[in-house]
Formats: sequence, structure tokens, C-alpha cells
Amino acid sequence: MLTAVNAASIRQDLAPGLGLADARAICPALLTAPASPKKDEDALLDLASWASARYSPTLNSDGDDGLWLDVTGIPHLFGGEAALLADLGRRLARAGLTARLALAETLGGAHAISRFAPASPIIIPDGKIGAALLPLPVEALRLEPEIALLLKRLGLKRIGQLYDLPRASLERRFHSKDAAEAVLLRLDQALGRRDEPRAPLLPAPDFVTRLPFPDPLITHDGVVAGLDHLASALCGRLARAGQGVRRVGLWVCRADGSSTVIEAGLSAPSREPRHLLGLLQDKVEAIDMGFGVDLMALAALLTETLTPAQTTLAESDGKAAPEPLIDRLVNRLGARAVRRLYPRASHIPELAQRLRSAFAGPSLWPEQAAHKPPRPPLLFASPEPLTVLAEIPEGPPASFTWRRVTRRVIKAEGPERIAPEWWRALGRGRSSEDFTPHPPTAKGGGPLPLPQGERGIRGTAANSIPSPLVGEGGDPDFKSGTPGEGATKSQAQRPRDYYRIEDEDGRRYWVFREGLYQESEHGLPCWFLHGVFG
Amino acid sequence: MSLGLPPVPGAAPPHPACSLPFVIAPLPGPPPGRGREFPLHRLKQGGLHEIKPASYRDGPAALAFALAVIAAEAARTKRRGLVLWCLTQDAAREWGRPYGPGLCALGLDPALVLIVEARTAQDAAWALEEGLKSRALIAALAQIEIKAQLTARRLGLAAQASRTPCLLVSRHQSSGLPGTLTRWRIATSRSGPAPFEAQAPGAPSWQLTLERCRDEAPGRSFIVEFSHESFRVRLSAASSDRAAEAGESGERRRAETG
Repeated sequence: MLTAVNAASIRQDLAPGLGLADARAICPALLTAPASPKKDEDALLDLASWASARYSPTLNSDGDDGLWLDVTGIPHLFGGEAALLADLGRRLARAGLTARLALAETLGGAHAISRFAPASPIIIPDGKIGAALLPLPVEALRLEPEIALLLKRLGLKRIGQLYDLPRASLERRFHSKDAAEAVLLRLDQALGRRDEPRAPLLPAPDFVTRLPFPDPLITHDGVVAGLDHLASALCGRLARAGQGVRRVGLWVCRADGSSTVIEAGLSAPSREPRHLLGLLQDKVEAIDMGFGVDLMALAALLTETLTPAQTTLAESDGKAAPEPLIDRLVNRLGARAVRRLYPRASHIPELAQRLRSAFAGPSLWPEQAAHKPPRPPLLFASPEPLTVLAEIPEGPPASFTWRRVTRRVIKAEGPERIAPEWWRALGRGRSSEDFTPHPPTAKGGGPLPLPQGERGIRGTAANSIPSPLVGEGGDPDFKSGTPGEGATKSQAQRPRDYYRIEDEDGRRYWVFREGLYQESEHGLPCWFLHGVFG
Repeated sequence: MSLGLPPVPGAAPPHPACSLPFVIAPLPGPPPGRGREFPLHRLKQGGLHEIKPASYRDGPAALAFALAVIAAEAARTKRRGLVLWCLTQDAAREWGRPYGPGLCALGLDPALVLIVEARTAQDAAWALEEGLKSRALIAALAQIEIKAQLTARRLGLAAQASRTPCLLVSRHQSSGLPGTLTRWRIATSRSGPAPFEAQAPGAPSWQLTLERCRDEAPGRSFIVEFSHESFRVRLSAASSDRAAEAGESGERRRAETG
């Protein structure tokens, strides 16, 4: 169904309310776009905010497609009512909007004339509203469609016909007191006989507090004191609106006209003045005071609804809320440095968790995670290559060399085979980089091919670590290799066999062999250390 | 413990001096004397505790032990508050990053852990001090190399004032820091037999040496085990049999051998 048509369509006899199939039959070349009432409403509000800044602060939307402005006492600023309407019409036309403008002494009258009068713009002088409405159809009175239809059936097609009608008889004809009352109310409002309350659009509350100083401040202490004052005022305003701030900005304007902005983010909405003060105070110390500060403004840049929390009498164990701590740490060290662990549904060990900024809120780990096969508390970002002596085709390492030190394995458990998650590549069609962020394959084209051993045991040498020789007890300055650079997709998706091994001193490691000897077309399997149990 | 009641086999009586869920393995025989009481419960006291690996490669063991202690403390406080884990980027590169499923295996809910990975040790120490002062923490874990004595004192005072245990895993070569309540040296020890598989590694066990503790004789050494079933650290059975000896003659022997 057509909801709105342009001038060219009207010339083709198309009208709102017509079915799309019918409209296409009338005009096969019709261009249509889906209606989006929400966007229309937003655009109308945008227009209203523009008009409120330019013409009159008292205004609101009128139906779905109109705006009313109360211009009482304003036209002389533009040089008269006609000049005001001409200015408005010209600006709207320049913005590509087709507008019908009318100026009348009542809201109902202006509504009727702007929509149903033959010409535009029209100015109805005071006292002439009755005569102007006389020839207009009754739909112009802002009536319900059924009531307007009923009026037409009664033969009352023009507003002028209602003027001299006895009011009591109208009610009798309608058989409904409410409907008759509605007609009379709208008629009286249009003619100015009855008052019509106007509900102007309220400006959105802005959470900004300003503090000008007659004499410029020259010390940081003064700025902090001013900040304290501003924070209390802002938080009072936020409390009245039931809002909490997530991002706060402080403008410090200096006497020479330059200014500095300091911003701070919060992990949870808050309206605690001391907390805001604490977040901004450190940064205030660093600002350049120049010739002195003569204006400070504190603004809530991002607010969220914050319902007052119930204070409790029980369970006061002396623990404070963690959000202020998180905010302080993040604002000093950066969002990337302060993080929390979030679970992720994946069997690949390095994909089973995600480190995200603590601003993302608390995480929820599944209860049964503790009962899975043991995992190390520390995991290397990229698995470290090992040189391993192990039984082939399958078996735990008998000994391994890691960071230039060879250890003998006395106990081992495994394998725990973890196969690539082939469904991920199917499901989302993502690239293989997303599939394995750190494909644990050695740099430089995989392991060195070694001749087949005699006894069924052979060493599988991965590339050694490019780090200086470090013995046990030496200063550890390891730079782990950057595997994965030369990894192809087939190598990244090889199955892994994980083993939990313990060396002769009782240290436990989590190692895996990537690839299988049975399927060695992608290169021989190689061994990696993925984590240390301790 | 001097109740005169016969110990129930299989039951784990709580340590008399604490409500911490550290348990001592059941012992046959007479009530334990002074030497039996290994002050593991001191680790839950608010203050700075230094845990020092015996060698470079024992670093992860020190961390795992500290995490196990914190996990027990988190369970005791019914998981109200956060666990702050401060580390430097160097430490993360050296031993890896915190891994949630692995923390689950130690009994610590990863949702409680707030990780601060700072570029420098100074930043990490600042974050740690802020955390200790905030009173929002269950416990703090630090993987920082602290060189300035003043920093260590500040951390110790902040931890004591807010009654938050702060477990500092330091480097094996560094000398002891001032302001610590306790200092421990930890080395891995061969695990006991696994319940169902002879070849598999058993419960993680560590050899703990008490280096410094107020009101306690230093130098005593014990072997503790971590149980993956109950998420508790306890003295291993083999070690507790020798506990009386370690308490008295063990000290002397250690002093002789240096």
C-alpha cells in the first residue's frame, strides 16, 4: 500500500492508501521504497530541532507530517509575518522539502488551512479565521476518520455548515455524545472559542555544568576544587533524571581562549561525585594552566539509566564495589591493559577463552568447566616449538628439549586428541585466520625431514628457538618464535594430540603433537609446548 | 588438636588456628606437636606474602600454588569481590597468559579475575597498590619484579590496611623484600601415584620452605599436594609422616647442610 506519494505521482492519479499492485497497474514505471515510519519520525524531530534554534523554541510535531511553531512575538525579528514565512519556505525548499505553510491565530485553524487551503503560504489575519475555514472540508478539523465520514453522510461537508447548526441537534443526530462533543471541541478550538493546551517539545536534558571564574585560576588545586563543585552539581542533575554517566568530559578553558578536554570512561553507570573526581583528578594534574583558567565545564558525554540500588543492612563484609577500581585502572593504563576472561565455545584450547576489556562487564563461566580434562593456568600466546624424542606413530614424548634444556619425561597422560573445528569454516565462511589466530606451526616450512630411525623411535626436530643460549638459572629473556607466518591452511587445520607430561623434577607441561604420522602429506608432525602446569 | 579423640580415618580435620580450608592429611598416632603445624593459614592474612621459586623453572609452580591459595580464599569469601592479577608484559611472554579453563581446574572462577597486564613493573605495582587500597579484592596476585624497597613497603602497608592477602611471585635470584608477612620458597616435587593410571602424573605437589614468618621458626620444609577433587592444598601423606622430625631435627640438619 502506498503511504506517501510525490508530486509527479499525484499527476498520475496515485494517492496514499492505494494498493501497490493497483498503483503499478496505473503507472508501470512507478518507483517505490519501503516506508520506515521510525526514520520519518526521527527526521521530523531533526527538523523540529533546527526550527527551534532558528525560529521559535515553542514547537512540536503535528501529526506524522507536520510541525507547529508558536511564533508569538517573533515575526518582527524577521521583518513581519510574511517575511518569516517566506524565509522558512525558502530554507525548506533549499533543503529539498516541499512544505505548505500557514499562519493563523489558532493551532486548529493553522492545521486546517496549511493542509486544505488551495494556496501556500497563507496568513490569516486575526479575527478572520471563521471566514477562512468556511469553505474547507470537515476532515480539516482533526477528526477521527469515522466521525468525518458520518458528518459527510449527514450532508455536512464543509466547516461552514457547522457554524449555524444547533448544538443540541448535532448530538441527537450522532447518537453518541462523545462523537458530537469531539466535533464541537475541534470546531471551537479551530475558531478560537475554546482554549487548546499546547504541549511543546521539551529539549533533551543536557548534563552539563559550567563554572566561570571572575579571576582566572592559576593553580591546579583551584581546578580540583572547581571540579569537586561541578561533579556534585552534575551528579545531582543525573540523580534527578535517574541517569548514570558512562563517559565524562571536562573542558578547561584558559584565559587566552585555548581549551583542553579531559575525558574518562566508566565501566558501569555511576553518579558518585567522589568517583568522578577521583577519575579526573590525576589527569587534571597534568594539564597546562597557561595564563589561568577562567571557565570549567563538566559534561556527561554518555549516560545510561541507573536505578537507585537498594542499600542493605545485611552482609556488610567490608568489601567495596569493584567498578571504581576498574575505572581507575582503565583510565590510567588503557582499556587494553585491564582485561577479564570470557569463555568461548570452542574445543581449540587457545580459542576457548577470550580476553576482553573489563568495561565489557562481568563474565559467566560454565560450572562444569572445572570437571574437564586439566588445563594449565598459563597458556602461551603462541605455542613454543619443542625437539622431542617420542615413539611413533603415537606415543608421549620420552624426552624433550625446551628453551635449550633437555628434560626426561617420567610420567605422561594422553593423548587427548583435539581435531580442528571444521564446522566453523562452514558456518560463518570466515577466513582461516579467524579460525586459528595463532596457527601453531613452525616458521620456515615445517620440520626438518629426518631419516627413518632403526628402532622405531626417532627425533622430530622442530625449528629451534631464535634466542640466546640460556641455561637453568640464567636470566630468562626469551623471545618466543612467531609461528604461523608460513602456515598454510592445511597445516593450520591439523589435528592435535595433547599430552600432560611430568619430568624428573615433578614439573608438569602440556605439550601436543600437531598432525598425524598416518596423514603426513602436509609435512611431518611437529611438537609444541602449549602451557606449563607448574 | 589436643582433644584426645582418636583421628577418624579418611576425615580431614581443619587446622586448629584457622578457618581456612587447608587441611592436613589425617595422621595416625598421638596428637601432633609444634612441628606439625605448618603455617599455611598465614597466607590468608592481609599483607604481602612473597612466594619465591627455588629455581628459574619453578616459576609456574609458584604461580600455581599462589592461585590454589587464592582459589580457596575466594571460595571462603563466597566469591564476593575480585581477584586482581597484576603482571608485566615480560612475564606474560615468559610463562604465558592467564588461561580461564586452567583456573577452573584449580578451583578459581575465572569470572572473578581481573587481569592487569602493564608495560612496566612500575605501572603494575601502581595497579596493585590501587587494588589493595580499594578494598574490593578477595586477594591479589602479582608477577612483578619489585626492585625498590619502598615499593614493597608501600604494598605491604596497603595490603595490611585493607586486610587483603597479596601474593607476590618474585624471581628466584632476588633477595627478600621488606614489609612481607611471610616468605616462602617453592620447588616442584614428584607427584604421587595417580588414582587410576600408573603412568599418569598424580596430584601436583610442591616442596615448600618457610623462609620468613613472624612467630614461626624459619627453615622448615614441607611437601604439599593440591587435590583436583576438593580444590584444596594439603600436606602430602609422605611429608606429614616426617613432620615431627622436620620440625626439630630437620632445622638443624638444614642448617648444617646450608
